[in-house]
Amino acid sequence: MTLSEDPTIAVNIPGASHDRNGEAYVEHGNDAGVPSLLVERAKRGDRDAFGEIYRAHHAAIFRFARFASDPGAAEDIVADVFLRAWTALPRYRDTGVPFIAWLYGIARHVAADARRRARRVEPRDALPDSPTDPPSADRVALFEALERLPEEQRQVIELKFLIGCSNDEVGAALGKTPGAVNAQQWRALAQLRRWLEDG
Amino acid sequence: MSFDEDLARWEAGELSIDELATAYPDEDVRGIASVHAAFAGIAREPVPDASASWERLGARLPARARVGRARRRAIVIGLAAAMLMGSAIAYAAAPSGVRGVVRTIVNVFRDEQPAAPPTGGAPSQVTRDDERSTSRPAPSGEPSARETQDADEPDHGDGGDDEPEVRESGDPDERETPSPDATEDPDDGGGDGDGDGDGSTPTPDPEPSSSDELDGSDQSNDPSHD
Repeated sequence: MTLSEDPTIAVNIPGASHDRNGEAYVEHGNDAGVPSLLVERAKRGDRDAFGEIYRAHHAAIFRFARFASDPGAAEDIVADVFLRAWTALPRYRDTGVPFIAWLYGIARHVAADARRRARRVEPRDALPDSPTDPPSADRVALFEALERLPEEQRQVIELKFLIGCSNDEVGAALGKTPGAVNAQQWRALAQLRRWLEDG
Repeated sequence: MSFDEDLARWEAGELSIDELATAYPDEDVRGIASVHAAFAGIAREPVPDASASWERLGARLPARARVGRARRRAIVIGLAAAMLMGSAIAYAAAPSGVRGVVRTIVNVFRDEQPAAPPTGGAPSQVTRDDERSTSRPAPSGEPSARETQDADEPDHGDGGDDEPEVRESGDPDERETPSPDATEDPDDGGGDGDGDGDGSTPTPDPEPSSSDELDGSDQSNDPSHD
């Protein structure tokens, strides 16, 4: 899939890499690039393997942490997520759910804890300046609207856009077909649009 | 194609926003696209380099080396202990005919005079006789060993207390540890071997077997239930 300058072409490729021509591409690994063998090694205490997992998933967890809490606390949240993951890894079982979805589950709890501890303030000038941004889209409003969504729709949006999962991976994480994930995504976005428009 | 499916095609770059809006004039196509773009923009924001933060985090990871191997070792030891104990208990609790068979098999391996395979009649008769006289010392033998063992045997049906402590306290891994109970093997050859001296010959003279501690080593089977 190619990242285009044309704002009318969808550019949703979260977590995409870019080749030398500036074109975005997404590597489709076993699980967003983390082989199960790496996970097994990390479970046995291999720090280097866990380091590989960290580097593979750091960006996704950071994006989620930055959106779900105070951006200044994102790096601390990421560290906490991976510390908890390291401790919990011996109990992890590959049940077909993408490993990144497991990390996402931990991240949700950590971010919720962080929000409870601190008041989250989003400066308006932090909004990205991009022609594709809707004029009324404000990150705080977006986050608060997202929080109002039904749990499943919210998870679809977070997994797809912030974590960077494909419809197949989201489906595996939530026990849904890719088609159902697609439907949930658009239903969620339409609802968010209505709430944002209503102010 | 449904609206959702066409939205997915637009997301994949197969449709332009104008085509989509034209196809679905009653839907807020551009509004949905704007929210989609907002999230896509968040996803494209730069993130810090992971290597630097890993350097800091790696040093904070608590030690968890060799947990897997230690756990496996504990499981193996526990299972072995459970099997030994279970075998001993099972042998002690086994009906006399079974014990006779076990002794016969053991004797075959020990090159002893193989006992006649227990049939319905004689051995059980012997068994019953023996049972009546559980405290009667075997002529050559170690009655005391058997009795002692019997006395020591807590409870024949009791398979529950041989569960080894393979699960370290607080260890979250319990789920992956196979239950040692599952391996309890009442018929495990009377295990440890040995049996006693001779097999279940009808002649009530069990030969003492020095290595026989675990089981009654006595032909005179069983005792005890109790």
